[in-house]
Amino acid sequence: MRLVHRVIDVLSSLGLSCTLLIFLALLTWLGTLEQVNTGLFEVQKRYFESLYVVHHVGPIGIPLPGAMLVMAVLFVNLILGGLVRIRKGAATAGIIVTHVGILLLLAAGYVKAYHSVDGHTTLYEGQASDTFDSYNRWELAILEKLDDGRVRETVAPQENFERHEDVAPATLVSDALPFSVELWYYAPNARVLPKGPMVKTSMPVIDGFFIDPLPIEMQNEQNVAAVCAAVTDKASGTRQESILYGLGRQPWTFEAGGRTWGLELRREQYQMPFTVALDDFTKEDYPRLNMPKAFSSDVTVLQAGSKRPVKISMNEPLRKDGLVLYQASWGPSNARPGDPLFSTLAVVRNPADQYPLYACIVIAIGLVLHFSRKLGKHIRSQAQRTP
Amino acid sequence: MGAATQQPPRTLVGSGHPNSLDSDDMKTAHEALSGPISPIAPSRSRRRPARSPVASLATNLLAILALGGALPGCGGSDSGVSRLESSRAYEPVGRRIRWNAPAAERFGISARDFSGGSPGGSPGGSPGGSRGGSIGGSPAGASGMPDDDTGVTALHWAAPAGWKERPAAMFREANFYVAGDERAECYLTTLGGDAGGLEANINRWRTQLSLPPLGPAEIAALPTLPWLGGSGVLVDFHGQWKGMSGDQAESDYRLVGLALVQPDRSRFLKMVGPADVIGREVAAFRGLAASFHEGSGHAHDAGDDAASPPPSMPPQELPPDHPTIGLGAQGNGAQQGNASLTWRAPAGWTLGPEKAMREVTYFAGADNAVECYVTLLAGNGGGLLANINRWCGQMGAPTLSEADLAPLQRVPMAGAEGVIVRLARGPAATAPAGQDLLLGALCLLPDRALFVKLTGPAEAVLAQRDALIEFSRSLQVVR
Repeated sequence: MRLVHRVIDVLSSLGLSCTLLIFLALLTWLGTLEQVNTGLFEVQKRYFESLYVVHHVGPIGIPLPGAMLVMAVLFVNLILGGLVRIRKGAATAGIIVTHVGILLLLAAGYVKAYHSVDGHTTLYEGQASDTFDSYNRWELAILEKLDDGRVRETVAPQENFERHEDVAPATLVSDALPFSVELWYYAPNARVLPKGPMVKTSMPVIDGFFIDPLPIEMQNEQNVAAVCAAVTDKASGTRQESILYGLGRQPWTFEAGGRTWGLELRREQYQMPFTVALDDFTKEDYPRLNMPKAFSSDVTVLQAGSKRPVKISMNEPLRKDGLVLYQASWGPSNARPGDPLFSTLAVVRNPADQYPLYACIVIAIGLVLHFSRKLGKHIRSQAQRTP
Repeated sequence: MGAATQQPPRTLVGSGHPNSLDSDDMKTAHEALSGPISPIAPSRSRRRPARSPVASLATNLLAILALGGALPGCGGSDSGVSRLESSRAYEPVGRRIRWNAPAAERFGISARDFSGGSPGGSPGGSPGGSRGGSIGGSPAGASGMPDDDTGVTALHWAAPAGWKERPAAMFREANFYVAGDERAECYLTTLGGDAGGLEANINRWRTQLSLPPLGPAEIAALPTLPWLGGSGVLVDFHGQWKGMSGDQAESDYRLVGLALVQPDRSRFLKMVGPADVIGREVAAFRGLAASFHEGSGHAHDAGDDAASPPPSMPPQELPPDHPTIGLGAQGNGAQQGNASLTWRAPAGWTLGPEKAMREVTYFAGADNAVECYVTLLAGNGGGLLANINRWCGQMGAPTLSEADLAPLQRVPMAGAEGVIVRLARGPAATAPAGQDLLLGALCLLPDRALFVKLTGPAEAVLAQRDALIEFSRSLQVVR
């Protein structure tokens, strides 16, 4: 029991709070420095979405707690120290409310980290989409060609195959599929090259092509994954192999169980509960310059037979069904007057979208309460001193 | 451990909790670290022995690190087998899935014989003869769907006279020795997606020529040509050739290239070699570029001229004795153009080099003393009067008012009414010496502004006045 009390003492202590805040500051500083070498995405993963991190100063590796761990412990620390064990009363009301606000802020970070997705949908005028693609994550999609022109899709997330960067395969199975899938030689950034007679490679050559792994780009969006894939028919044991490439525009097609299937490696794709059709993209340039002054997309939102025209511009996103669609960019960058342009809409689904605002309001209320009381106390004490 | 360890344990009063930065009670974080503080209110506190702040910090650090080290082990083992559970059926929106697409199409590159075989046309090539070629396997993307049952969009071209066509090689779908000179090469490469982007590819070319990279603004200002249904960016670099591996050192090399970077597929036509060889073959390069076109059902055998370039961009040849002027060619009265405009260059006008912000440049008169160029701007380009007065400023001429525009001569331009202005050089001119007279034609279109500016010695400019009007009348905007 003493041990439990001791642990609670430590977890609720101000010393721990200060230690954690120092770590957070340190991680922010080191992570910012590290961005120069490894890029934002990698730093976010290593320093801020991890339980621990080893920061290298020259050849020396310094182990540090990851920001995720630090914030989790800080969350417990705030609950124990700032809500549970704090003396309750008028004197501490403001403090408690402030702690609630900080906890809400931490909760917003958790929800953003684990329950939000963001990506983009890119459309030329006249095109429509009911999905958006991740900037960073990959997935394997198994497509079944249905007779009515539709597609049945089974998806394997990146975690199912990303660790299999060598010959040991990741195996994907499903009772609904007449075959199993093996994936190996996953390369987070690669190009696919044809194997010529003068080309030497240690990678497997399939259909005359092989995966040529490339160094990881600092801007993670530029990395294009590739993986070797094989499907084995459960009934016949027939095995077929191919290479899947992130830039591939069409799936690898094979027959299994008397049906036609496709396999593709693609940016993780998210379904929208509505379809967005780009009617018109408008780019207004500064006079005599090709620099855009403003750009906007006139879209039609189609859902359950209804149509709604919406204009999405740079500071006026479309908020609908938990999604926020922002006007992010346009292209091609080398387009001349009259060339068709595409519009890229950033799509974000973040249930905690507004939490930081609420948290700030709660914190502000707490601080106003606390310091109002202090001010009143000070005024009263001054009045008592006055003869 | 100094005075801090000698102090008696202190407790927080007021807020009752160490996390509160209760200034009133002066138990700040600094104080907390400088002496042990009981973490709970006095009424419920259990005193404990004083500990140094360093020891406290170390304890916290070790606890956090231990927790961080322990938690990753809780994730379970990775057996390598994953079971997929859910699936969904849907009708693809905005996407046409093509089953049985060939590997080359899926990878965005040509799978055509990379083992030293020939393209669709015959391998080898006979110097001196105009030949054609074609390949299949180009990826079908948003801008180029397959046009035959195999789903393969074929690419055709007409080899320039005197060039030696070589077998296709890796990343070289059309492959030539320029003018039969084995030091000079020209080849076409197709890659999937944007191939890393325009800037990266152009700067890669510059690196091969030992040139510093260009910035985004400089890249954006590069001239463009209509090419394979898009707007290809034209580059012309001169430097020391390092080669693609950086292991060569050939001075006085020139690279002329055309890059068409699109989201779904990118193509690059690159001609590189000794500057003197390349300088003679720029027009042939341009003709080759113009001859590339997609389509199927028409083969290009040796001597077959069916792969004629689009009418908007005929192959252009410099007279043998003509000095090289950029991508020069003389006006021949035929309709010419680019992605934005078409025009007929008056006889005697010589095509000048590509320049930023100009659709086209011509030279005219004796010694090419008169320069004429066309600019097409988005919107109203600032308006007619503002642009005329900008020219007035350059020529040191008095500025005009709206009322002064009324009596100016009009000329039909691009389906609109253009205004002809004549500005003589004044003492405050900022225009380069030799530009004594400016003749300009301007017009506003619904969404663009079109400017034709002709400058040079006064007499020479006046001699080109009718040609300017004729040229302005011929301008048509490509919609």
